[in-house]
Amino acid sequence: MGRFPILTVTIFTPLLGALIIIFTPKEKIKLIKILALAFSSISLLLSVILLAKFDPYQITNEFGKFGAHLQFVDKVDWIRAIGATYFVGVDGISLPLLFIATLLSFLAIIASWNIDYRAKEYFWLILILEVGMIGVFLALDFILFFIFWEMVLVPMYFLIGIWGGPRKEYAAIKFFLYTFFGSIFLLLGILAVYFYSSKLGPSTFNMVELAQHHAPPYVETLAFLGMFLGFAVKVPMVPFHTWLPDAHVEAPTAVSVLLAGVLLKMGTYAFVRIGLGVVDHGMLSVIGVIAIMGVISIIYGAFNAMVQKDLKSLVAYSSISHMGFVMLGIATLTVSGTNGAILYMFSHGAITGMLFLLVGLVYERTHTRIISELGGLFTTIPLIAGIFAYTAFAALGLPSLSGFIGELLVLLGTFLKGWFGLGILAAIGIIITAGYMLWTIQRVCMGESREFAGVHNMPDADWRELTTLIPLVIIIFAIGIYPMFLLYYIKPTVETFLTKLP
Amino acid sequence: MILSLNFYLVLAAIIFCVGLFGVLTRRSIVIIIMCIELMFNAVNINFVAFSSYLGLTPVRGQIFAVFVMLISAVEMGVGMGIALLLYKNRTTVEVNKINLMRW
Amino acid sequence: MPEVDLKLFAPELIITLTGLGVLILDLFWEKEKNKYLVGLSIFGLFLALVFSLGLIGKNGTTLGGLFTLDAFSLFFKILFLLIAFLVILLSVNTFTRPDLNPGEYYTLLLFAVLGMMLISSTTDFVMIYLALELISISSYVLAGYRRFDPKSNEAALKYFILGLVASAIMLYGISFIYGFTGFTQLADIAQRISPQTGRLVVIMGVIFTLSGFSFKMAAVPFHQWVPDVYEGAPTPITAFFSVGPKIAAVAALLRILLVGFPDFIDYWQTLFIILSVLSMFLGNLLAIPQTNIKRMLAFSTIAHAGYILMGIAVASKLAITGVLVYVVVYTFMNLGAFGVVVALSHTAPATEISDYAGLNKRSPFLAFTMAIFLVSLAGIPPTAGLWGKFLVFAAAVEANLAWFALLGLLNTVISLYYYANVIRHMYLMEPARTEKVKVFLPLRGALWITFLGTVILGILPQPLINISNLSSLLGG
Repeated sequence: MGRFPILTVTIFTPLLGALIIIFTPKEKIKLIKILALAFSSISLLLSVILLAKFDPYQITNEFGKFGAHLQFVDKVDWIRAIGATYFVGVDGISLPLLFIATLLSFLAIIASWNIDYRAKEYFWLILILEVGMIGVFLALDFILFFIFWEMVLVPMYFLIGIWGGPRKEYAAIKFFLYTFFGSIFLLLGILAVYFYSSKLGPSTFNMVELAQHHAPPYVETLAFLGMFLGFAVKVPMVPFHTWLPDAHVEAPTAVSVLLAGVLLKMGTYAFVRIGLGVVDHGMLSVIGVIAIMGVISIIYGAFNAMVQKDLKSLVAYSSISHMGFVMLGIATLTVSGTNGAILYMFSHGAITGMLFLLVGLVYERTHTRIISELGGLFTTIPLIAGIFAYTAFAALGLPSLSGFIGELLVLLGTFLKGWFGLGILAAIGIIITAGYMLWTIQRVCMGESREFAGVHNMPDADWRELTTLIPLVIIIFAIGIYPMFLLYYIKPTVETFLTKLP
Repeated sequence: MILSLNFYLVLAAIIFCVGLFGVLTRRSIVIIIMCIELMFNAVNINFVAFSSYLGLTPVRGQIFAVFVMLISAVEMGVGMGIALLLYKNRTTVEVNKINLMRW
Repeated sequence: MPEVDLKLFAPELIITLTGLGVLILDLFWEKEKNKYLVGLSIFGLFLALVFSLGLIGKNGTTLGGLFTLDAFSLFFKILFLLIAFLVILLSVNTFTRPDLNPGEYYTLLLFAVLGMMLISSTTDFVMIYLALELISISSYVLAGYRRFDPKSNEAALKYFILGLVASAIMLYGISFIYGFTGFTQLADIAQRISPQTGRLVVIMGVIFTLSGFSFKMAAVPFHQWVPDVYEGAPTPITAFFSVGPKIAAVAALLRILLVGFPDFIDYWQTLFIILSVLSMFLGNLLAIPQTNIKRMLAFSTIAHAGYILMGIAVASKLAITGVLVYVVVYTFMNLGAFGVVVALSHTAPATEISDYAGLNKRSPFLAFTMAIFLVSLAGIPPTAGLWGKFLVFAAAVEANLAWFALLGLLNTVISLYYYANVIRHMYLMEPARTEKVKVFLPLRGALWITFLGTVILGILPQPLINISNLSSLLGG
């Protein structure tokens, strides 16, 4: 291997950081935080380098249409006895998600700077979590993918369970059991595909090879349905969503950011990479159901968000609604729909990440997240409230901000596909979203400024808090006015990817 | 009169069942151990009967029976030791009173 | 006079001599004899390991067909030596009371290991029975080793009575198989019986025989002894029971089924599928309400017996490889978990799950290793526990028994609940006591070995899978 294994280094740098932190004395909180920040910033830096070096139009024939745009591939024999390889690579679909994962991890660490309670454990768990998240987006071998997929669970369980809110233990175990339950079906699906591949040569877990041939329709459909359960719990699609509001409400701010910003994308990304890429025949046979479930998620999430009393669970339900858009976009199988879905994943990561950061900032100041107890934040903490309003506008799909582009492309795809009914329902979803977001801004930011129990002075955002917000503010705006920043990477890959479909 | 093999097998089966029944119903450890001994002897009858009726040259069955006797003797020794300890610590050898832990 | 090839069973001879040596020298050493006896035992184990490694690649039969050496048996022997080594490390600081004679303890342990080694390398029912009883008799005494403790007495008694009944039933079954075929050698038996020629008596004989091993494996419905014996026995012995005799029974079962009754696969496959499903569900569901960690782990071992039986029931090449991988990773993670239990009960009797509250503050090392072992027992990557389950479940899917694999996978979700409960106590709750937990050096060593084994095999399982693959080829 003459080339610098940049992806491998990106994945395992946080792991190295975690190991170093484990051997750091726990009293040296400052050092631990700096180490965590340093190692996550290396990963971030590497992903920025990847953004710069990645050539979206370069085509490799070695990997078929599934992996035509894969670059920086690292491939090593790993468990030859069962045909598993260590195989990572990046293409236009995974690159934006890789970037948002490393960016949000980095920002999450800055946002957690105030955490001093069991800081050592906190920061190394975050780093382990980052390894899993990055790994999922880069893995091209099912076993590797599955391992990273599961690796996220344990740190998440602890992060919610130790640093969470009042019902943290319940939320943590619910999250853990739910997603673990989903992933056993994922494993069954993987095994079905794996054993079928043995009829055509040596059994393999290599996605690239598995993508090139197909099992009989019923096998693929069953395999996909198994995987579907695993992914749908993670996304989460209604009716597999019930863990999400609990987890979000109880999780500490930074963890909510990662949960909404990155973990949910693991599910939708898997639908594209594995659903459309590997078991496409299986996915196509139930594509209508997925689209309908996506729309149900949009409407259901939006209505639920509207009636939430807690600001954090409002954002959580809005995530469910937004992830419905992503699923709808993927299900259209059109270039614009899929482009939109991937762009939307990216922008949702930024927007929802910001919303959770802001809710966290508000909560730190007012000690409440109940919407009816808030109000007048524009006058008391204008900067935070202003950014909150900005982000809420992005979330409701205001043109010139990134949420809009995603929604537009998804709707375009839906109408191109000829699904007018679903398109109209999704558009209604946007209107409801606009409704509750505006209403929330009105209730939280406007009106009389209030006194909060036990709160005397409310400082506005300090430089550290602004550091966590400003990169995302810029990204949302930049994508909003010039989406080609991202589509430049996404589009060529998606175009080739979709030509593979029958 | 030469008894057929079946007589021995039935005898063994009856003894085995008597032993098993005793293990399940009796309360005294000593009697339970005796009943287990009955089960082992039923096995021995089986082995010896089979061995002699089959008329095989390497008399594995009889060898097996000797081993079973040997080992059951060792086991009885261990069992009585355990029963004795229990009696010392709890002054009872009734199994239904030996219930520090849930069954 | 049959020729005796001493080389082939050199490891067993060494263990026998070490056991006897420990017993005799126990009489002569007065001061600090615990230390010397441990040293001698470990030296014996090490020597046996060297000889076992030297025998790799050799095949042979000696002692008039009673003893067979092949890759399969060597695989298990090396594993058993490792188990013995770890259990001794776990025991060193536990039996320090002068009235608990350490010499006898190590002798018994070594003889139990001898029985395990013999059972893995024989194809004759006579030897299988002898070896099984050697394990059992040593185990009965070991279970009651804390002779002043009524709970320990009770554990020994329950184990003794149920164990004897199980072996009587097994012998009764063997006697019918012998009677029908005239042989006790597995290979000869296989040639002479098949379901077509067999009568009900033979099938009954087969089932009776297998039930004896199911008892040792602690599979439902032969599991009633497990929780009580595990709770009552001294903790290092519980650790030993949870791996040693169980894996020995797995070795014997594989040999008997695949060499002795390959034609009966339809019968015993159904039987073991039932046993497996029952063991998994009952073990996992009953583990949930437990408040004593030893009892909880006892039920968890029943569930693990179920997973292992899944591999045995499927009985394809992949499944057998899976079983072999499973027993190795199971050894590491389960001995590790019990090692933590031992460590915690050194300072004060602490076997309730509530004693684990806030363990992270009292000993981060113990809490962290325990968390890894529990996560591994639940089968979550990147720990070794994944691979055992993965291969076994994969084998079930391969054999078109996907529903069976699904039941197994559902059980891993159930099991996660109670494993996570312990983790919750250790990390999420406040400690009731604040004093630090002292971990003695030998135990610390054992925990490091099991911990590294669990993690390294989790990341790089390739060598283990390869070795298991080769060893799963049974001669016969």
